[in-house]
Order: sequence, then C-alpha cells, then structure tokens
Amino acid sequence: MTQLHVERASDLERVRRNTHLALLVALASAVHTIEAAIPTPVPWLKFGFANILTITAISLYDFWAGLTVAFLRVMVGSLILGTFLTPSFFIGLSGAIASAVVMGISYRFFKGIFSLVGISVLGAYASNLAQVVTVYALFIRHSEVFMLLPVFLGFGLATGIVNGIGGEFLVGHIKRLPAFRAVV
Amino acid sequence: MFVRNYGHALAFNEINSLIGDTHSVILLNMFTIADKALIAFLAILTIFSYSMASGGRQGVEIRIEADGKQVGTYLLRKDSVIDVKGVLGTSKINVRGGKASFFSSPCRNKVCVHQGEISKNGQMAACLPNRVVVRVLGGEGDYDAVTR
Repeated sequence: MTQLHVERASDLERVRRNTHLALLVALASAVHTIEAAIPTPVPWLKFGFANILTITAISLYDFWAGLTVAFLRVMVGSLILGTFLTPSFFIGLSGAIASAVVMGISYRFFKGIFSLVGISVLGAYASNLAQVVTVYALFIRHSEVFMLLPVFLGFGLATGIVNGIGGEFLVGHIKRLPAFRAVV
Repeated sequence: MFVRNYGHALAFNEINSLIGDTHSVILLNMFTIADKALIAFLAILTIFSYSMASGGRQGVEIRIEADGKQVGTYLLRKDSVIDVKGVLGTSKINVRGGKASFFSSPCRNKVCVHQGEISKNGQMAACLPNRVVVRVLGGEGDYDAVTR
C-alpha cells in the first residue's frame, strides 16, 4: 500500500514537472516570436525576454529544466519564424544554451548570494559572449567581430537586469499559485 | 523587512497597491549586495573593454612597398628580418613579437629607425629617402558580412 502511494506521488511529481515545463516552453516560444518583431540595431542583438522563463524554470526546478526550456524555446521559435537552421538560429541557440548553462550552475552555487537579477546578468553576459564567438567561428571569420563585444556586453548588462527583475516578479507570483505550491 | 524576499513575497496586485512612493524601493531591495557588486564589476569591465576595442587593433600582417611597387606581405606573428631594396640601398625591416620596425636604412636622418615599432592596424612607417613604406594590415577574412 505504502509503496503504491509513493509511486503515485512520484508519478504526480513527474507529470506536474512536465506540465509546468511545457507551459514555460510555450510561454517562452511566444515571447521569443513576438520579440523578433521588435527591431534592434544588429539583427541578433535581442532583449532576451524569453530568458525570464529560463530563469523561472531554473528557479522552480533545476539546471536541466532551464536547459530544456531554453533549447525547446529556440527550436519552436525558429520553426514559427522560419529561421530554422539559418545563421540567426545558430546564433540564438548558442546564446540560449550558454546562458542556461551559466545561470543553472550559478543558481546552484550562488543561490543565496545573488538574487535572480545577478543570475540573469551572468546569463546575459554568457549569452552575448557565446553569440559573438559563434558569429566569429561560423559566419564572419574576421577578428573585427570582437570589436562588437563591448556593445553587446553593455546591452547585455541592461537586458540582464531587466530580465532578472522580471524573473523575480514572475517567480514570486508563480509561487503563490496553488498549482505550483507543491513545487516550492 | 527581508531584503531578498520582496520579489517572492508580493503578488502583482499587492505590488500594484504599493506603487507610488515605495515602488522604486521594492525594485532596489530586490538587488542583493552581491548583485550590485557584480553589476558594478561588469559595468567597469564593459567600459574598459570598450576603450580597449576602440584604441586600435593588433594588425595581422605588414605590406611593404618600395618605390611605389609592392614588395610583399609578411605575417606579423612570424619573426623575421626583411631586406628591402629601395632607391638608395637596402633597408632592413625587423619583425619581432608581433611588431615591425626599421632596423636599419641607408638614409641620412634615420627618422624611420627612430620611429620605433608599429603593430596596430593602419599604422605606417616609412623611410622617405629610400622610398620604402611599411603598412600594418588587418588581414583578410573569408567574408565581409553575412545577411540573413
């Protein structure tokens, strides 16, 4: 009897996690798609609001949840936008994965030290660094590309702070919802 | 009360009721001391890297011209001594540690030798009497740009 009960509880946990991640991926894909309509000076310079959902996944669950949301968001978003396997897809993918990895690791080790704002800023820097390296490695093999780095990093600092604040608000809100109560 | 917990503890409607004089306080309280330190550090790093990037870039190769004709291009990362035949005689150009300089030249004033080393993209050294010009180039990439 007891064993069955535990099994059910773990099943419930798994289903709950998958459902929540699916919701976060759907939201992130929507944000990613809408964001593509906002013009920026350089095509791959983005606000990265979809990263709010990655931070949320990392904060609610773990590293792998964040990576899942980041990866699937870029996949779904690129399919909707029709940029799948184009340069901007690879640039976006490298940035999303790099930021998810860095945020996941830093959240795990510096959870009490940094708020989500600090985590998000680290993620934004990782994302922009990865993007510039990807541009250099795959597309524009010219060291001139690294001249863009300061602009990218400065922009990343601003978007990182904004996304971090967004993440704090979203996580704060989500943790009050009955559906998410068991998670936290 | 607890600095870190504001973001978690308040729902949107509660925050909305607080908007006004305390709104900016909530946003500021969300940042921990470590956050502020990190942001300050990264801001300084970014500004520093910006000044680095705009201060000229290390060149890749040098192009040598003698009497208006191109003699050749040489990689800056390869140490070498290049003899260039000019109008007056042979100028020796020394490439060492990513920097190029006139080692000797058959001119009178030796302005070129005293000019010292060049290494940044676009820099130039010349021995005008011998009509030898050395230019630092950035090197060629495979593409200039990529469009989507």
